[in-house]
Order: sequence, then structure tokens, then C-alpha cells
Amino acid sequence: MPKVTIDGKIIDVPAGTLIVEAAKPVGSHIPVFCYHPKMAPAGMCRMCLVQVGMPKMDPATKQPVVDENGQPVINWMPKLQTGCTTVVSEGMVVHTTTPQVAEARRSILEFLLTSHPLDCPVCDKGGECPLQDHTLHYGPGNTRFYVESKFHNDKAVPLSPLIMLDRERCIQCGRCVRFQDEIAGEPSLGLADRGRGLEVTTFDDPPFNSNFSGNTIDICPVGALTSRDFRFTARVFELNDYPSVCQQCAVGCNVYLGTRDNLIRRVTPRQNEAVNEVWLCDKGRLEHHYAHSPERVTTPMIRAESDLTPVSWYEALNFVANRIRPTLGESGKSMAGLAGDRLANEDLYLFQKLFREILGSNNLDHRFGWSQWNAGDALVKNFGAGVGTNLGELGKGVTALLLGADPQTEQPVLRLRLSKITRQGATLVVANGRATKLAQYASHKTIYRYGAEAYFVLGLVRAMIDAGLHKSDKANGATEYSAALNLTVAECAAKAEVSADTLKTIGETFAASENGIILFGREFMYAMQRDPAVEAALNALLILSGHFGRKNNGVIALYPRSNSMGALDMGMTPTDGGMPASEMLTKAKLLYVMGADPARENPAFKNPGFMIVQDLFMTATAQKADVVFPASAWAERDGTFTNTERRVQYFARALEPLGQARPDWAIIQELAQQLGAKWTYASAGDVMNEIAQRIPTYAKMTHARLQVNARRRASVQTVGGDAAEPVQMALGELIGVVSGAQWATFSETNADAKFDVKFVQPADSAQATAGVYLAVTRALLDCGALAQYSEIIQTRVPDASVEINSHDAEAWEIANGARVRITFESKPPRALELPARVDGSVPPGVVAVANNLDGTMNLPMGAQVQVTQVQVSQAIAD
Amino acid sequence: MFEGLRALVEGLLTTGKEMVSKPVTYQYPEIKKPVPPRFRGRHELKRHANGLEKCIGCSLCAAACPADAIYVLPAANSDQERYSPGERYAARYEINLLRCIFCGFCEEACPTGAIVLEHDYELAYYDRRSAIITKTQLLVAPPQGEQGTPRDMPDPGNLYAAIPPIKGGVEPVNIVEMAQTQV
Amino acid sequence: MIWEPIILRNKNIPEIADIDVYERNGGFTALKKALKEMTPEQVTDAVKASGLKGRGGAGFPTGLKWSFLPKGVFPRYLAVNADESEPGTFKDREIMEKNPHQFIEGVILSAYAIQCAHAFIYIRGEYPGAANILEQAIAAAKQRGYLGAQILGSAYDLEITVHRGAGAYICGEETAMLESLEGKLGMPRVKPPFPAVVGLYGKPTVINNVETLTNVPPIIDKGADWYKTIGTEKSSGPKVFCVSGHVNRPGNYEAPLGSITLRDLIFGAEYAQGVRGEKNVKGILTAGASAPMLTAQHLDTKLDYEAVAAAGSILGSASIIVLDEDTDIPWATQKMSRFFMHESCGKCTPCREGTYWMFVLMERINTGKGTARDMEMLPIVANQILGRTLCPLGEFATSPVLGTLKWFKHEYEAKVSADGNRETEK
Repeated sequence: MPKVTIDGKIIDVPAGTLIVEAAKPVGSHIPVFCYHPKMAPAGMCRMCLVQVGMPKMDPATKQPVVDENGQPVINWMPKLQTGCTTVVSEGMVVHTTTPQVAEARRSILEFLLTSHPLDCPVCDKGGECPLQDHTLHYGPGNTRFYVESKFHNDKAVPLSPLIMLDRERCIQCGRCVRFQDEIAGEPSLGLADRGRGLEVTTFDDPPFNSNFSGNTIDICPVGALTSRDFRFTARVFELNDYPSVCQQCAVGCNVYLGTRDNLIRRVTPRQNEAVNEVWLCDKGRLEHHYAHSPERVTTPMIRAESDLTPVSWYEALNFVANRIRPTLGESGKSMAGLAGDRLANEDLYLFQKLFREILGSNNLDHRFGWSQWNAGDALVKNFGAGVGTNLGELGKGVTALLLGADPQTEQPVLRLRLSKITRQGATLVVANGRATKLAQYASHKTIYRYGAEAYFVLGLVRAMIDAGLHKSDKANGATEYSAALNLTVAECAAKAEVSADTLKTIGETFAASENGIILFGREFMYAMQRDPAVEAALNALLILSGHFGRKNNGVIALYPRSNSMGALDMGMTPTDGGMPASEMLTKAKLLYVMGADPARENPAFKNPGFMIVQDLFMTATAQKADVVFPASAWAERDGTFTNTERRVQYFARALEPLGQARPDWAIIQELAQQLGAKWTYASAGDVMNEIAQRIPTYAKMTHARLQVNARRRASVQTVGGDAAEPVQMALGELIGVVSGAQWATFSETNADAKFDVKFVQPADSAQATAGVYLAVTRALLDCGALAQYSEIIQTRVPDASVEINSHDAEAWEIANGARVRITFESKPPRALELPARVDGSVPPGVVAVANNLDGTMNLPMGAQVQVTQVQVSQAIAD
Repeated sequence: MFEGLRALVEGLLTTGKEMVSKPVTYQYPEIKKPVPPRFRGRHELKRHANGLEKCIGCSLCAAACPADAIYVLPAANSDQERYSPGERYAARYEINLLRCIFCGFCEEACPTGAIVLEHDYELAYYDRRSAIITKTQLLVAPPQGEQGTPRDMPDPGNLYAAIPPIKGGVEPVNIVEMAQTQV
Repeated sequence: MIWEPIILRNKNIPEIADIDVYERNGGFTALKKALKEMTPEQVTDAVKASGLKGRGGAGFPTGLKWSFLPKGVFPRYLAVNADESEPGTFKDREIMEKNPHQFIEGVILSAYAIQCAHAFIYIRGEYPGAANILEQAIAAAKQRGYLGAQILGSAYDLEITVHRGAGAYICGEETAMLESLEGKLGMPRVKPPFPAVVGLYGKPTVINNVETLTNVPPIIDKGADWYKTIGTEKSSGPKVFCVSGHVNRPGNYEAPLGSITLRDLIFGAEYAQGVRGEKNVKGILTAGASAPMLTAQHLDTKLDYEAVAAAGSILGSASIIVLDEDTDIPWATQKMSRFFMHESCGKCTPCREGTYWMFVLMERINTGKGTARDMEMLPIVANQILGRTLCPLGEFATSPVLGTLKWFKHEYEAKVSADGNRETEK
């Protein structure tokens, strides 16, 4: 810990700290443009120049020379040093406020402003612009340059559908280029030309093709990169920034909803070092448009005769209550509730309470359709990653094992965070049935055969046991297990079609590592549901490795949606003999569908007799309903989501509800009251208080507690006051903010508990042995239920295609780009016609199709398919 | 007694003088009192000499307004529909005159000299809604012989094309030196 | 005494570019000696003992540079800086075109000393002829077993790649050269880490100039003690001086460091043979455009690193540009300002913006638009650049301006007026 003196204050900082970082805790402000705490220093802008001195050392004794007052003699460096590239060392003395430093800052700003257009009044960055702020604090009040000699360059260059580039405003700090290279890992931007003509360009086609491009807007220290979505809709000082949580995937990125005139104008990331750090993917940034879509349902509707007609809330609720009341006693069992897992915990809790306590039915589910598999719940409940685990900070001594997941398209920000952990010293193992983006960053990557997941995991267990690295102190039946596991590593490797050495290395690394985390994704959950042996094997791997019940140990299930985890916690599962979703859609007599659209995926879905739909839009399901309740969008109410790492996070209300829309929990309460319940929740916070009392894992998780660090952003208009956060974001003055709370798992709260390990023989399914396997993937930007309302997302949705291995393509005589027909067994029979993409991302015998694009909805994962080339029809040739 | 008489005469004289002097009242509204040149009356949105609007929709007036009386909704200019020089113009510009305190901060904040408090002081309305004046009411007519807005501009794509030339360029002014020499 | 060149040996043996001729004249004996009799450490020690300093401009001791490589980190690389782009410098070109084998032998010896298996020669794009000759020389050396696998029967392997630049002055800066070699935009890197630790492709790298490496074969061949007898105590060895400008016989001249003065070089019969048209010397640039200008009063300065530094300039790559008494100094300075503005890579602010501003001021002064204010601003802008840039280019850019302002301020003042409306003479 070197001891350094900064502006007369002595501070101990860890070795390797840069001067700019060391100066923050002592309150010395070093202005920067090109430096960003999340990226490697570049030393380009020269704004952070400071005076640095080192103690004079006596060459004989290697001790600092002291003067007559006993103070060390300081050798000042002849030139000012850049604080962003100079690492502190023992005894270093730094001055940040001397006239020399002030003069240097003034001259750098004067230089920057000579070619800056100074069109702040029309610039979207104006108000949260570091160049403005630094000029105000450190800059010259005037210019000595000639206006007519000013350098002019292109303005308003559309860099991509999302981003507008102003080359004149650019100060060539290269933050955007470095972000894309270092953090996003999608090197879409580059600098071209030289001297004053140095400019940011993209060589991509389509231009600036990155899912993280929006972050470059936030970190741009000037208005060179601005959002075309937000362009000229408001000045930043006119926005009200409400803290919220992104609703698009299970990562639960913290965001600010910037509103003006009751419209969301922009979504920007809110710092949470445990969730999204300071980043946000483009989907989360752009998908808010659905909240004020003109297609929203704004009044309750009931089916009178054949059409749905708008009625008052009183009528609609009465209509439903009258329909339900007579059947309350005996036929409650025929009622079923299906809720989407994008809804808040409060909604889901009241929904299940309505069914269990008022209607007397356990027919509840939130998982339906292609994407959700009822697997791994017990693993998460028992061995979920320990409280305090921060996936972005994994470093030395941690092995993270990622199974059957593709976070690049399904949990994008998690991918950003995981891709840096190998650099921090952690070991990242990526295993899937196909190649994924994250595998580029892995220490060990391997492609197993789809359908042989059980063998892959068993191979790891065997390798661990063979090496004697297993721990049996918390296991029941460890010795029996080891005897029952009648497979060698080589046999497992042969079944999974990976090399035995790889299995051995991964198994031993994971077991020997001090900490171990297993993340499994959608593709792995599918395997777990298909074959119980997979879950049993994973269970054994966890228990015998002892990687659970502590920080940086355990499992994380990468769920598909923002509150899948919360839905499980709230009890949205068919317990005690309730019907699961697959049954209720056909067997229930009365169906209450909240925030879900089963008819979208299954057009054959029918109204079972009486159906209540509670949604934002007139979905395919709502069109078949008897009653439609207009719900308010997530931005129109407050509540909590639980993300995939079990972190419960609060989101505030940012907008007035549209029309007569009401929060889901309030609608449920009204209905319950109509049915005679004595519920008196005045707010979502009241519901959460009850959750905190009744669900043990959520103890003490009240809104008040979750709101810590999730407050409205201070107005950026207060010049000279505390720097508001958006400015900090661009200035690069980030402090470690964390909000939300993780619940502790069973193995954490019961330290002495022992767990059973049981060997289950894997089923040798036909899928593992023959035929072409259909791997269902996801595209991040799609035309999904909510994304379809965002025009910018729609411009960037890729065309559907089928990925084919080059060996297969050769064997099947399919050229890259050729149209192919994919046929598979289903009822009714289906066939897809798609262009082929021949690349190395899938192994032979597997084809991959993203199933959320135009024409590829609702594909069966793991189906046996036939692939044939489509003959160019004569009609086209003529 | 004389004392009292003197006071009476003096008083009558004063009254008498006023009877023959010119009256200070005006026969408003037939006759309108001229206002001083720097009088702050109702706002106007000015135009450049070529007829383009000076207002660029930057909302600095709204930010400066202590009474929160101004609402600006900006939008982007296009080459086909150009309102103002540069990239941005005010699609909506509204001032609530019931809120306005005529302090002139908006005028001071305006970077282009678009908003000016002019000499109209007849600001009475029959209902509150009419006191919110819109851009059409605020915007002055284009100069004689010039087109109004929006219009299409020559030299598409050149954002500087629409800015009227400044004669002889701008000589840099050292504000600090100016302040020092004046003291 | 007429010095017998040991670098520009082509002056005495015009056909030395032929490998047979080179071999007949003692070529590759040093290599044979080193590979057969010496360990890499001994080669490094010999170079260290010889006192050889880098001839690229900075004058850093070569042997010391080699010993900075971290122990046990492989692969490591040797990158030869043949991006000779300083105005008025053309020594490396003559070496590479006329005496290529001695240079290649130097590369092999140095690569052996630092134990690298792949050396790169980064040659400027404007030297296609030299690049072709080098490629032929490498092919010839390979054919004779001086290059490739198991050189001369030893266990040492070496490949040499000639990489052509695309014409950027900044790529002569060592880290920018490495970036360019890696295929990136030619921009200097932040130091530390220094290239000796993290260099080409993130590996330890030694970067040496062409002339420096051409000195290595004679050192190994004849010994460090012999080499030390050449030149002065602190600056040993011979140096090639590039003389250009208003002289009767511009060209490359080799002489031991400190053995001659500027006057000898400019007026000597065996050197540049005086100023064109018998005019007087007005200004002398000793290191191309990057060094402050010297004047006629410095003619008796000895030509070694220390003496030139004492006179207020730098010897650098020893590219001496002579300006005669008729030269319009502000005009010449404007040309140099324009050069630096054009060659600034744009990475750091002071250089990118400052060189542009300086050029604007110089242009105003030279076109008669200048005022006293511009004269006042010129040193202010230059000093705002000085000491604040990422690499030395920005500092070099200020030298012509500050150097000429020091000696020829009156010429500037004659060009400016109160109203900025002076008629230009030309």
C-alpha cells in the first residue's frame, strides 16, 4: 500500500492505483476527458496533467533524503505528468492545484475549444457535458483563436440508426473506440486519418453493428455521439430522471427513465456495480416506446354479444365477480391463472394470493411455451450463488462454469461483465452445444454434443473424484455415489464428443479452485427438463465440489425474463397438485391471463370458456378474451423485480398511467374486494411489506430498504452544486454504487445442512445419437411483444437465417446464402424456408435458428430436422 | 389669522395652477402612451434578414425563466423543411403570459437574439387559456420580399448554408481585458 | 586526414552492394565470429563496451538498451527503424541502398545478441527502391546460410521481414512504429510500459536505427577497444552527417564524432565545399526540422552530441540543413510548421490543435496579415504545447518556431503591422 501525498493530504492506496483514482478519496478533482475508470488509460487528452514529485533517495542507504526539518526532499519532475497514466508509488507527492497545473488545464481547454463548434444551445449533450463543465471550472473565459480559421467538419452524420455523429464536436478522446474494443468486444468503430482530421468512423455493414452501441453516447465527453432516439426531444435539464430497472431480460440493469411531458424521452444506465456497472444494451435503451404506444388498451372491455366493448371499471369488475362468485365454493379447481414473468413481485404475489386464498385453486404458472423449462428450481433454492457475489468482480481463485447459455443475445450486459473476468484472473469455462460470443473470452471452451449434457457433467464429476478433489463433508451418500458412477472420463467424453483431456482439465480446475460458480442457461435448462439425469449430475457436481453456501460459490440460473426468478419466489408455480401451464390451457374452465400471450406462440389456443386477460395491448390472447383489463406499464407504477442473481430491485413510477390503466396489483385487489376479500393495500409498498413478512427469504425487503441508492437523479441544472450523476458518467468520476438486495439461499442460512447425492443413469435419447439437431437460439433485437413498438429496434432486427456447419453444407450441397427448407415433425406440420449461413458457430449435425424473428416463431428446441436446398422455382427464373 | 389665510391662498393657487396646466392623463385607448425604448412588453420571436427564424429551440429561455412560463418543444430541421439555420428549431413555443413576470431573463439567455420583449402591453384576455400564446402569435412576419418558414434551402446537407454571413467576421473579444480596462 | 568510412563503405568500394564483393571485403566475418566464438551476452557486452549510441536521434546507449529486456520472456523481437522521415535526413537510405549487407549483418548480430527469432525492418513507404534492395539482400543472405534456420550451422534461427510504411512521420517514433507494424493506426503508445518490456505484439522488443546496427559488425569484428578509439570520450564511433540546403555539394559524409566542426563540414573540401554562390551562412538546422536553429556564430561547434547540445540545439540524426543569407526565415519556419501540422497524428490535444494554431499564425505573418498580437501569441501557443504532449513530435513542432524567434525576431517583426494589412514582398 503506497503512501502518497496529494495536495498535502496523505493517503494509502493499493499498489497500481492511478493518480486520478487516488485523488478521488482525498477530494482533489482531476479533470479528464479520455480517461474512463472502466477502461485502460490512453493519455490522449492531456487534461489530467498534474505536478508529480518523488522523494530523493540516498543511493547508499536506499532511504529518502530528509532536509533539516526532517521532511523528505522532493525531486519534482521537470514536466507535468498525466494523472491518468501515472501509477502512484511510495512517497510520491502530487499537486493538483498549483498555478502551473491550472495553466496547463486552461491551455488544453483553449486548444480543444479552438476546433469545437460551440453549438451548445442545439447540442443534446448540453447540460451534462464534461467539456462545458470543465471549461466552466478550469477553462479560459475567452478565446484567442481566430473564428474564421476554425476547423470545420461534417455535422449530423448518421453513424447507425441509433447514433448520430457530429465530427466537429468530437475531441478525439477515443473513448467510444476503446469501449467497443475493450468492453463490448465488438470492434465496430475506428479512428481514421490524422492530425486535426482524425475522425471516428465505422467499417461495419450495417453501420456500427453492435448491441452495446448506446453506451458510447453516455461516455462521450462531448456531444459528438448523440442518440437519434432522444435527438431534439428535450434538453437534459428538462428531464426528470426516475430510477427504474430494465424489464427486458433477467439481468435487471438499473436505469433512469428520463421523462418530459409524461413521455419517456430516453433511458440511460444507472450505476449499480453489482448488476450492470454503468452499461446498458441497446434493447434496454430503446424498448421503452411501447409504454406510450397508441395501441395500448386504455379502458376495461367486456365481450357483449360478439365484440369487446369498452365499459367502466365498475362494470368490468362486477362482470367478472358475478361470473366467478357462484362457482367459488365447489369448482375453484377448474380456475387457472397464467401470469407473465415480466410482472413485478407485488403483482405476482397478489395474483397467487387471489387464487390460493380467495378462489381456492393451485392452478398457477408463469412458464409456458417454447422458452421456459421447469428445471433447476431446487438447485437455485438450495445452492444459489452466495450473497455478495458480484459477477463483474470475479478474479483470482474463482472458476466460473457457463453451461448451455448464450448471454450475448439473452443476457447481454452479463456477457459484458463475464468477458472481463479472465483478465482479472478468474477462470472462465464456456461449454455449450455450439459456439457463442463469450467463448472468445474463455480460459477453456468446449462444444459438447446436444443431448449429451448429462455425460458432460458426469465426466466433470468423475474427473473430480478421480483426482481426489471432491469433498464429502456436506454430502449424504458420497461414497455410494462414487461407486454408482459407472462411467470413466473417457466414456463420458466419447458420449459428449469432447476430448477426455478437456473434461479432465475442466473438472479438476473447477474442483481445485477456491471458489466455483456454475451458470446455466436456457439450452441447459431444456436438457435438464428432458432428462432428470442432467440435474442430478449438476447437483452432484455442486455438492461434491463444495462450491455453495458462500460468496462467489453456487449456481445462477440464467432465466429468460426480467422477473422469472421473482415469479418462482412468489409461488407462481403449480404446487400441491395444481395444473401446470401446459395442462391449464386445455383443461381449465376459467382462465385468468395476466401479462402473458399464449395465443401468440400457439395460434390454435382457444378461450376455454371464460377468460380474463389483463395486459397492455390487445394481444392475440386478449382478442379471444371475455374481459380485458387495461394494466399500466412498468414505468407507470412502482414495484420490485428479482433478477437472475436473486437480487431484488426497486423501480419507481415515472409516468402517469395512460387512460384508465391501473397497476396489476391494484386490479387484482379490486377484484378480490369484489369477491369479498378484506384487502387494504394502499400501494405496491404495502404489498411488499406483506411479502417481506410472509416469504422468509424476502424478510426485511421493504421498498424503503430497496430504495437505497435508487433515488431520482438530482437535477443537472444546479451549476456549481454537487455534480449530478449523468455528468459523472461522462466525466468518468464513478464511485462504487450498489443497490438492491440478494436473498440468502438454503445452504447459506443452514450452514450445517447435508445434501443427498444420487446417481441417475442418463437416458440415451435418440436425439443424442442420430439426425440433425435443431438448436433454437435467440436474436437480441427482435419483433417481440414489446420490441415491435420501437421503430429503431425494428430497423436493426436481423433477417432470420439458419446456421449450418461448413462440413454439413458441403455434404448437403448448400451454398452460403442459399435458401434452404427445414422440415420437422409437428402438429400441424411445419416447414421453414430460410437463407443458410454457413459458418463455424455450430458443430456438424446441428443447425441453429433464432426463433424470435419473422417467420421463425415457436420452434421446438431439439427437434429432428431435415435440411434441403430449395430449388429456384421456374416462376422466378421466368 | 394671517397664517391661516396665507395657507388658504397658497392651497387655492396650487389647485388653480393645475386647472390651467396640461393634463397628464391620456385618453386611452384612443391615445396610447409611447413607452421607453427598453420597455419590456409582450415577447416576439425574431427572424434573420433572410427570413429564417432566429429561434433554434434550445430551451435556454425556459431554463432561465424564474416563473416557468415558457415551453419549448424542439425538432430537427430538414433540407426540405427548414425553419432556422442549423440543425434544430422550435416546433412548439408557448409562453404563459399570466405566469410571465416580464423580467427579461429569457431575452438575456437567448444565444441567438430570437426572443425580444417588445412594446405591446395590452395583455388582457377573456379566459386563461388565451393567455398562453403560441409560436404563431409570437413569430414576427418575414422581412419584405423574403420567404417565410418552413421552406427548402439551396445547398442541401450544408448546415452552415442557412446562416446569414456576418460582415467582416468576428474579431475575438477579450472579456477579461475589457473588464480590467474599464475599471 | 581523410577518414576511411566504416559505415558508408560504398564510398571506397562502390560495388559493395554485391554480396560477393562484400564477402571479399571482410563481410560476414563478424557474424561467423559471433556465432562460433561468442555467446549472445558477450555480443551485448562488446556493444556496451564500445560506447555505441543510438544514431536515430535520441542517442541512447545501444548495449544498455539491449540489456533492458526482461529475462526469460520469449518471443522477443527486434524492430529496425528505417522510417527515415525527418526532413533533410537521408543517411539510412544510402546505407540500405549502397551497403545493405553490412546493415543486414548488423541486424543478424543484434538479433543474436538479444536472442530474437524474428526481426522486422520497418521501412518508410517512400523508399521502394531501398526496400527492394533489402529484400534481395535478405534473399541472398538466406541463400548463403546467414539467415533462416540454423545459421552457419549453429542452433540459432532468424527470419527478417521488411515492412513498408505508408508515409507517416510519426511512425518514426518507436511506439507508433510498433502500432503501425501491428497493422493499427500509427499513433504513439503511452510509456511506460516501455517497448523493452511490452513492445511488438505485447512482447519485449528492441528498436534500433539502421545506422546504429550498421555499426555493430565492425565492433564485433575489430573489437570494442578499437571502436572506442574513434570519436570522443563520450561519443564514440563514426557518424554519417547528411548535409543539405544551400551548399555546393550536399550529401552524406562520414566522420568520427567530435572530429570536425560545423565549419569543416560545410566548407571542407572533402565535405560540402561551401555555400552556394559564396554567400554567408544564416541559419543551420542540425537535426532536420525538429531542432532549434543555430546561426553563423555557432559554426565552430564540434559535431558531437554534447557540444551541439551546449550550443542550444541537438545533434539528433545529424541532418544538417544550411540556409544562406537570402533565406526568408519566417517563410522557412512556416514550411516547417506546415510539415508538423500535417504530420501530427492527432492523438493528443496540444499537438493536434497547437500545430494547427501555430501554422495559422505563421501563415498570417507570412501573408502580411499578421499583427503584433500574432507575434505575441506565437511563443504563447508554442509554450502551451511544450512539455504537455504524449510523444516528442509536439515538442519538435515548437523548435523551429521558438528557435527562429530567438535569433531572427526582427525578420518576423518586419512582416507584421498594426492593422494586419502589410503588402507582402513576394
